[in-house]
Amino acid sequence: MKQNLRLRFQLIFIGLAIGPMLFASIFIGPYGFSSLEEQSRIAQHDLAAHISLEINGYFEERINELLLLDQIYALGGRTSEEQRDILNIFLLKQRVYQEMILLDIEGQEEIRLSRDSTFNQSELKSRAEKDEFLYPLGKKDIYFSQVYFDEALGESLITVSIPLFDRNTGRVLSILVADIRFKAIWDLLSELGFKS
Amino acid sequence: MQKTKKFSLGMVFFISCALLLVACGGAKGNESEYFTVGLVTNNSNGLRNVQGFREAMTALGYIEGENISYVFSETPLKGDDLDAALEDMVAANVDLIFTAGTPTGVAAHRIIEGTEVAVVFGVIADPIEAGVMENLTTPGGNITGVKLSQNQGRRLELLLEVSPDIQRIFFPYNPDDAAPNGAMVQIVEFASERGIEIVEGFARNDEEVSILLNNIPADMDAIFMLPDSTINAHVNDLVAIAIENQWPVSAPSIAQVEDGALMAYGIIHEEAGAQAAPMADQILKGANPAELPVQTAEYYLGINLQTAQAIGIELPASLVQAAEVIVTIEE
Repeated sequence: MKQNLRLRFQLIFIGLAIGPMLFASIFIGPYGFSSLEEQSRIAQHDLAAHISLEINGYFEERINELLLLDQIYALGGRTSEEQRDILNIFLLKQRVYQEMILLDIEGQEEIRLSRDSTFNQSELKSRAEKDEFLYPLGKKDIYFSQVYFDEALGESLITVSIPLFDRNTGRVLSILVADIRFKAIWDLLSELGFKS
Repeated sequence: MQKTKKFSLGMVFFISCALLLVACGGAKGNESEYFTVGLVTNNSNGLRNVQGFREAMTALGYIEGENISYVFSETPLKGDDLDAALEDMVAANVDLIFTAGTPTGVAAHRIIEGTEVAVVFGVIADPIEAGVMENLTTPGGNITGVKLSQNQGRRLELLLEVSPDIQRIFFPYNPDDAAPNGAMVQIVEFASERGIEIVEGFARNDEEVSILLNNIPADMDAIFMLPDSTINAHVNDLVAIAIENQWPVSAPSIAQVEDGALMAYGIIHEEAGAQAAPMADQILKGANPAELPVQTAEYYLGINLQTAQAIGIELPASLVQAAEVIVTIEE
């Protein structure tokens, strides 16, 4: 009798210990899981929006810089030496640009400056068949290339080109091509744990 | 009855074990990993790289004493001392070795061969020329890091913008060091295109550097310092001689502009070291160094207006405007 009572108490104790856990796992568990799933979805959406905003902002800033370069210095109408000086200072000061190239109306490189290389006159080539020349010339709009990886630099780059206009006639005087480094975006993604 | 008692006691024992296991599992989940990282450099400027690396690691959450400890002699090591320090690190099975300076990276690459210890360099001037890898995008071995830019020709071009009349330039360097040899390859082509005469001076140790610096030909127009720890350890002597002879000096890092060189188009040591930290972080978290592309160190234009005044050179306004680091004239 005594032992039977002890057995009953033990079974009641076990039931009280396990019962609430079973209840929680069966009824509250799925609810908690869907709630976490929803929270995770919202977090991912916010993260994607944040990255998108950063990338858009980054490129808007670059385009504004290039446009201002022309608007302030009237780059298209300057002598070759003046153009070279302006682009040289700009390139040294703005580390987000890897190369700056000025194409004439035929697509021939007139000036090519790099942050780390030198180019003599004989190395300047024609880009008449390249999209970075044809698109801004034909559409009178800004051109963006695909992102590509520069092995020597160890970084991703994107080529952007803008037409430089004659203020009086509106005709295209030359095309400014800039190789923009993707490092800032790369670093951002790395901080967020995306790179690995 | 006896059977039922045994059953119930078994149940209680089973539940107790299960709860204990759950508790243990939770405790293990909160336990963080502890890493040991070896640090080596062969030159005094490399100490700055190491400092930058450590600070960046702290910013990434590696707190010394809590989840990371460093094995570091706190002084530059060369030759046998460097090899011995690296061998000790490998024997101690450190999780990673950070090296600053081409000779340290080359030595580490040699010593870790056949082991599982990873190396992150910050920096090696040219990892391919130095023989530590064949491909910068996929290094392939157990070593990756940050390299210098191939900008020696561009740096020479900037020196010519400062002083267009330069005809003969003195290049002091250690011919046994891969870093200056690689830099010279970049320079020779550009110099010949511009009709610049290259005058080389060799020194392999401190004694030879002193002799070399005191015997620079008098008809030089400028001195071009290369990424070379043997010569650059004597930057103060070199700058003093250059100022006395009114020679402009172009240097490979901003630190040397702070030491009195006229100009530099190069790295900030602390920043180059810090740039390697995220790579170390990825490796400590399990990434394979063989698949981490080598990065290029960021570089800046620096000028020293005090030195310009001392040697009587008027720097072009456009270059002063473009410089990001300027040592100004004291009032």
